[in-house]
Formats: sequence, structure tokens, C-alpha cells
Amino acid sequence: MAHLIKLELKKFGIARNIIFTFAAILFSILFITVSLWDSMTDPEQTKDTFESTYLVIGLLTSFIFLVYSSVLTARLIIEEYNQRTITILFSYPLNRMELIAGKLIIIMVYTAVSMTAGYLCCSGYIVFADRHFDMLEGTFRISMLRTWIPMAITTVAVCTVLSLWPFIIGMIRKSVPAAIITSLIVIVFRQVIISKNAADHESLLQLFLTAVITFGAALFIFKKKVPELY
Amino acid sequence: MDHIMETSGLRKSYKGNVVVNDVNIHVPKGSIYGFVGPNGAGKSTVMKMILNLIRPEAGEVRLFGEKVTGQSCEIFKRVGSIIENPYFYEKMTARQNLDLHCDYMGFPNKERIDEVLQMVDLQNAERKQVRHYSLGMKQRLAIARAILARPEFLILDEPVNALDPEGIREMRHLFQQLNQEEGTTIFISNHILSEVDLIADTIGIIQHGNLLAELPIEEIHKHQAEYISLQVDDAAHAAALLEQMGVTNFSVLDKEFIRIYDPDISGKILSKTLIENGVGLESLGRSQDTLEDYFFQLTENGK
Repeated sequence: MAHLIKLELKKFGIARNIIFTFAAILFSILFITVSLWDSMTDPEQTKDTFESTYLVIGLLTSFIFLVYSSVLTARLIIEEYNQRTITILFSYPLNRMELIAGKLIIIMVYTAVSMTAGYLCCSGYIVFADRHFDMLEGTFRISMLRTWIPMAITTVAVCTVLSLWPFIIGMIRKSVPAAIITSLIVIVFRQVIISKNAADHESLLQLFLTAVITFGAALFIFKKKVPELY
Repeated sequence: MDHIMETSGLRKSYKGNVVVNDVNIHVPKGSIYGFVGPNGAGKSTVMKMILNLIRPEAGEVRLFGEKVTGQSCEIFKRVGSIIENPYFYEKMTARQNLDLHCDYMGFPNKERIDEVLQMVDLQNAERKQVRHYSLGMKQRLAIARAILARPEFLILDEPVNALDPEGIREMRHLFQQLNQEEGTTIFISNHILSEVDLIADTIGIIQHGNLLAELPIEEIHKHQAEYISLQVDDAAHAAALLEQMGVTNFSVLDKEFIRIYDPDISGKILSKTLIENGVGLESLGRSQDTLEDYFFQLTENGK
């Protein structure tokens, strides 16, 4: 499996995707800056709190990297079917299920690592911005990390699992638009669910259930749709 | 006989439409097996089943004596193939595509890439992205990829499609060289029957999913009769004259063409008789049945 992942990474283009991660994080920082600056300079608004800004960070990173995971799914998996290069891949002396699983592992790991980097950079930035420019309401306390860290871990874990849905839906008809639209629907659906939770992120039970349903659906697609060339 | 690939009772249907029915193919080791049939006859479907790209509904494929199943992997290290069109990672160069192929096949000798690029005459275009290649160049590159890992068995689905006559000849020589010098067994489909006739030593003819015949090319050549071909302005009149001359073994192909399967008849007497009786003679010549004639005899009987 490790050998397969290494081979797939050649097509994945690590450098290109690291550049995208940096660009996405810079965009998030810019977005947060504009939002903080606006609430700071507008006399009719109150300054944003650390809690609300941290929620925005979670929303931004999950939105950007979930949508990007669907683009990766389309590029690494669905386009192999649409451009028929899958016939070449499947004629190699390799286990086909492991081959596709290897691609999914790359996408999931990339999503998890990028989101973690996004959280770290954006959280660090708001602490820095407040310390030097007093842009937020209140001051940063280490005790805040007791809420922030579990929230970030849960969000990253849930989004990593959810990054499988573009594959699940997109593979039904080997459709790139279906994969990308699925990621948007997943984001909205998740937002509806977590808005009802007091902690603004999924509980462990919700995370567990999401994982069970997602892996069950992915297994079904593996059995029924992965071997289907056309 | 030692067969490198065999199928028995192979069957496949799509939405109730049977596309391959009870196909039994036997590819002798070291042979070049020409697999011919009209478009939609089931050639590509059979080839995909051999490569385990689609699963047969019934029957089995045996490669190197081993039954091909969903779990068969290692066996394909010994197989090179081109199926349907030449597919590549279009944004990669020819060399990158071949390099990737070596990695997937577990073939360590990457110096062989230069060798195969030379063999298909693409050594000067190897740094170009494949999307800038013409279809003919892609076809050559697909051949290079198929032979790269020195396969013992080559499955080639219409490999000379889109090649110019010079390219077709070069590839024919390449396949013959691989077969004779490296002992590669080749299973090749081609709709250009004259091309198959030139290269294959065993022929399988498929139509409507049924294998109509499988025999050595010498067998076909044995049955290929010599004939006199006549082109006249009135075939019915000419046929009546032939009967008067006592010639019975002939067939009228259409309003103009007649074939006489009696090569002992003098062309001089024939032309004289026809002209003297007012039949306009456009041409007269001696020919021999080709694989194409055999193919049409067989497929028209099969209709």
C-alpha cells in the first residue's frame, strides 16, 4: 500500500498542493483581517470576540479544504475513469481496491494536514493581531486552548471523514460536477447539524455515527462502482 | 500444444444483449494470433475480459495456464496491452508516462525507455507533453508502453489505427521482430485484413460475438483458390457464353464482375469468345483469394 501511495503521489503533485494550502491560509488570514478591521473601525459595531473569530476560522478552513478535497477527488479518481486512463491502471499487476484506497488516503491526509495548518496559522494570527493591534474584544488566555484544541481536532476529524462524500456520490455516475456539488451540500448539512449543538462542533457520538455511515457508503461504492470501467 | 492464453465458454451481455457468446480461443505460445471481425463483433470485449477489465458472465480465461480471477495481479506483469484508444496522462511527457508505467509494472530497468522510444521512432518527441501529440504519435507511444516491460504476451487492440502506411509497415516489422527474436506471443486485432494476413500465423474470426473459425493461416492459404477475374459490360450475357463454353465453376459477383475458378482456361480464348459475341471486356486477370475473401465467405454464411 505504501508503494502505491508513493506512486500516486507522483501524479498528485505535492509542491502544487502545498502552494494551494499556503494560498488558502493567506486568503483566510486576509478574510479575518478585513472582518476584524471592519468591526474595529466601524463605530456602530462592537469588536469581534476570540470565540466568534475562532468559529469563523473553523468555518473557513472546513469550507475551503472540503471543497478542495472534492476537486482532488475529481482529479485523482473520477477523471481517471472519464479519461479512460483507469483501463491502463487496472491492467497493471496491482490490487485495484488498494489503488483507489491509496488515492483516497492521499486526499484525506492532505485535507487533515491542510486544515490543521489552517487552524494553527489563523489562530496564531488572531493572537498576534490582538497583542499588537488590539483588534479583538478581550485578551487571549491559555485557558481558551482547552476549548479551541478539542474543537479543532473534532472539526479536522469530521471534515477528513466527510471528504469521502464527493468520492461516494461522484463515483455513482463518475461525475465531476456531482463530486464538487456534494462537497457544498456536505458543508451546508454539517453547518445545520452543528448549529444545533451548544459546543458549535460535533459530539463524539455524532463523529462516530458520521464515520460509520461514511465508511459504509464508501465500502458499497468500492464494491459496486470502482470495478465498473464505464 | 502449449497455449499461452485460452478462453473457454466466454460469455458477456449488456442489458440482455449478448455481445460475446461461448468464445473458445487458443493462442499458441510464440504465435501471432490475428483476431478479426467486423466492428461491434465483440473483439474489444473479449480482449477486456482477457485483461480482467470486465468480468465474464460465464466461462473462463487462462493466462500462462492460470485461471484469471478477480484476485489475479501478478500474472499481468507478464502481459503488455493496448486496449481501445491510446490513453495517457496528457499533461505528462512521453518519458514521464513511460517512467510511471515502469513503476506500476515493477519493472526496474528504466534504460529500456530509451530503447522503446527509439523502436517506435519517438526519441525526438519524448520531452513533449502527450496532449501535443498527434493520434499517430500517441499510437506509437502506446506500442512503446505495451512492449516496455518485455512482456511475454502482448494484447494489441487495433494497434496500427491512425498510423500512415509507412508507420504500419514499421510496426509490423517491430511486432515480427519481437515475436521472432524475443519469443513474444502476440494477440492482435485489426480491421485491415490484408495487414493481419501479412503478420499472423493463426487466425480467429469473430462475428456477432461468436467465434466462427480459429485456424492456422496456412489452412486458409490452402483453401485460397486461384481464379480469373473478368470485368465486362454485361455479366449475364458473359455468364451465358461461359456456360456455352462448358465452364461451370464460376460466380457472378454483380452486373460487371465474374470470377472463374478454373485457372486452366486460356485467357486468350476467353477474351476472343467474349468480344466476338459482343460482350465488352473491360479487364481480365488472374488472382488468388485473400484472407478478406475467406473472411467474407465465412461471415456471410454466418449471417
